[in-house]
Amino acid sequence: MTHDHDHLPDEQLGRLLLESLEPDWHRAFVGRVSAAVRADSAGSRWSILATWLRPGLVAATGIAAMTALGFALLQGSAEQASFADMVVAEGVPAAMLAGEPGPSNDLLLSAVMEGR
Amino acid sequence: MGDVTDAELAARAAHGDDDAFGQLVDRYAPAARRVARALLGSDADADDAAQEGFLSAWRAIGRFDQSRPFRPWLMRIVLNAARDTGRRRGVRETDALSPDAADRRAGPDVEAGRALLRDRLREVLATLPERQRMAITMFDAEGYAHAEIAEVLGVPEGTVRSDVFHARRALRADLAPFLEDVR
Repeated sequence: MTHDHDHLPDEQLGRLLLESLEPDWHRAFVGRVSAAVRADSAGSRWSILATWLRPGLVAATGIAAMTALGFALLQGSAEQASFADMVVAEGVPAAMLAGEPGPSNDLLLSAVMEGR
Repeated sequence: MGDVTDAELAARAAHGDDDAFGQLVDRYAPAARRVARALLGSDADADDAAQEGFLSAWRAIGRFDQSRPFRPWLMRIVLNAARDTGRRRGVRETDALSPDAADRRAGPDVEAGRALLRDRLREVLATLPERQRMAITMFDAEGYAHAEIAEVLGVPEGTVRSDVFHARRALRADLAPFLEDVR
């Protein structure tokens, strides 16, 4: 072993270290790490999708709720319209349907007096 | 494929190319496993740590500065993974052998003697402080420059030189009887 040149690698000690620490099953180890990397990539993609999933679901639920509400409102106004049409057809005075105030008491009284 | 540089592979890996990262794993797995073995002693723990190091590097590859060398960056991550593994599992320190251990172990057959020497080297290595283990493994076995080791370990270059010196002295003193047998 080199003693006088400590600034240079000691070839004998280095070779012994390499032999002593040399791992076997290189291909198996590389395969194992590559599989772990692929699994990690797939996991990351799923976690990204998962982070998108929650706000996506909230947004979709909101849109569905708004759509349902709008549909219900439209349906309600359509039903009101058809009820008004039916009442007119039955001969109810238009003034009642118009929602305007009825004849005043004075008007009614003068009509009765004229009738006598 | 041998012409592709680390920087090119790292750039492709940073864009999600796991095959490119696989080539980096293929290139650096032996060194990463040796460094982890030098730190942890146990081969199984070392392989777990090396794998964890590669996974951490894969997750962090987008933050790797491609203008800098890849090898020290990766080794720093592997070293941290090995340290974490050591903390989790408890570092297995090897008992120091008695002074006449070499006499008991050394046989007439040179190959058997070399095998004993390798075993003994790992045992003695395990008794050294962690930083000395890393410094001598990376300098003498892996061929890193002092400056690179300093970057990996996060210490001044002079400290690396001192660690290499002390580690060599300890190994030479302990292995001398074994070396006589295999000469």
